[in-house]
Amino acid sequence: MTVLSIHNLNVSFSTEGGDLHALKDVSFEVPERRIVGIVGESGCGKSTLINAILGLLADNGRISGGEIRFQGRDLSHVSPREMTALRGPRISTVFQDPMGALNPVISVGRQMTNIQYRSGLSKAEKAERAVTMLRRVRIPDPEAALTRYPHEFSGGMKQRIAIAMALMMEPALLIADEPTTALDATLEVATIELLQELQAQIGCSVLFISHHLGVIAELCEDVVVMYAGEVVERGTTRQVFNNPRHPYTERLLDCDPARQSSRTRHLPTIPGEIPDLRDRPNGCIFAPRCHRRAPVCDTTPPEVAVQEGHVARCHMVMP
Amino acid sequence: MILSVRDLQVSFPVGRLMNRSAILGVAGVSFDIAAGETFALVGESGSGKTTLARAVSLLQPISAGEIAFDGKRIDGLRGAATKPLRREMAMMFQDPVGSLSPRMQVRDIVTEAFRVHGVEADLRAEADRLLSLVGLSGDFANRFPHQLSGGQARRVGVARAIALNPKLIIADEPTAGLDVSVQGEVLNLLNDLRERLGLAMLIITHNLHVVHHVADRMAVMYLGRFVETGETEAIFQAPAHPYTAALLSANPEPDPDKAKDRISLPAEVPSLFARPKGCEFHTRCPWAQARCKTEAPAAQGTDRRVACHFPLSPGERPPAVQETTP
Repeated sequence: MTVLSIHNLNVSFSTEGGDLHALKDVSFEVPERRIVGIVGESGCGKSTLINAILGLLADNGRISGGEIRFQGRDLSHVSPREMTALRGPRISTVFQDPMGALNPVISVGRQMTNIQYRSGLSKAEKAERAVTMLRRVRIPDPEAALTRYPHEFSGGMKQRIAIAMALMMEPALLIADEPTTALDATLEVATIELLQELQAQIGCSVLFISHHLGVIAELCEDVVVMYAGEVVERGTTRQVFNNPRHPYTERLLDCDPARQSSRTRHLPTIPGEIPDLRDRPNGCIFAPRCHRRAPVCDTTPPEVAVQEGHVARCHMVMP
Repeated sequence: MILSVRDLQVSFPVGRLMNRSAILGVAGVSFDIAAGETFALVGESGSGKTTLARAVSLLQPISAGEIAFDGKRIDGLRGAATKPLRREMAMMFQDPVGSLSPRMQVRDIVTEAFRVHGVEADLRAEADRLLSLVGLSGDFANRFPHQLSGGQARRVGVARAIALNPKLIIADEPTAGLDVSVQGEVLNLLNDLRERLGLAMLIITHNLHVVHHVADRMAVMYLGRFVETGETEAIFQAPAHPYTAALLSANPEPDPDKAKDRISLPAEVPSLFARPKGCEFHTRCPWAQARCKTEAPAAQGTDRRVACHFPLSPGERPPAVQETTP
């Protein structure tokens, strides 16, 4: 069973300089009980993708083609009212900055009971659930924590409270957008381990967005690599990290200083910049920066199946 | 030595009139940076890295200790007396775009130092020279900061920092928020400049992979103190302080098959208001023993200094894993 299935999704924004084609023919799936990572650099369309899934595109943005199926329903056509009912109990989110998720002037306990308003539980039962959830994210002394305010917790604890709130209604899909980027290495690892553990207990699927390759490798089972609004490669994390086939993925992995095992003073880079999305080049989007460019790259590249479940969108990939 | 710091302390007053006290943001650190050397400070947020950098650049008053720049004491300098020093010691701040004045064109940003210090120069030519040094074409001179990408803004920050040929650059998280492909460009640029101009650098970062590639020596900070200092390569090969070992083991690596041999620490960092007795790391240390709870360890060694009663032997693993009760 697939929880989320995105097929040929296209998103455009109308801007003064013309239509900006932010997502082009994006397709991938999030199977049940699986953690799928989306990796890509600034401007690759990660945030636009999440907003499209959540029905939160800006006013000048629209889904210009394709579908987003969540448990079989096409989200690009549900009413705003139905979408509101899905967001929270069925699809929940954790963002980079936990203070964006927590109200600074309401106690943690009150916020955690408020979000259960659809559950039909009594006040005492709601508080009980809040305590259980705080205990599961390892907040010390959870009963006392209910009466405290967000600023009284450290950054790592605030993010754990945000995770507790996101998972309290046991959603089918958790979308986590760079949730560990603002944390230090030791806290980052602790947060990843916690997410893994809770995901297994609750049995939800996770769509995890990050530009940190190490975190993706650590946490995710599948990975989708995006560049300039397109999916250039996807597969299991092992397939993609151990045998990258798209030149962009290769280059991106090379650039991570952690992949350079011996000490070097000169780090690899990807010369050039992301093209202007108002004026997408014909053919392969990565061609202007590609080290394996050939004349054929001026035509639209095919999706090549490298292996079962591993595809790369490139002319130069041999199956 | 370009920079020598001895027993530096920075304290912050806390509390109201009747129960005023102070906390130590930097609690007595000593280190030297030689000409052309890159020295890295690593540690978790709140460990005092930025406070230390601000103190060294005289942006933050110190409460004890000595700072010498190029052989001369600078810690007593105030106000106008610090101005000559600013030519020799340049600062790069954390936020690449935010540290550039939004209403100034790139040309004026990179040459502002000439005007501030009254240095006679052909500013137009200097702007072009500086921009080409950092790999930006001349058309960038007319842009405003909001028209730059993160990597370009960082390059402008570097160009401004090297305008008057400083001897030392202090860079606070020079690659934070940059994509990996751009991060390499900025680090390569700093390294080229170091080689060409003989710059010394103090780099603050929590990205240990970056430290490994760019720093000659490094210091690991915990609650405002150095727990370990030494050659970068030696520390990466065999960390001797348990905190260093935990930090290095907690570094997520982009390799799904890599065996995860982690030293996990209780997540909660003690507050500066209630520093633990004895060794300040004992509350999180998997190796802690009775002595660690009562007696503070002094830093041992010369080139490689470790503040621990029981420094680790290479590859040493924590004793029996204790399950933390939830």
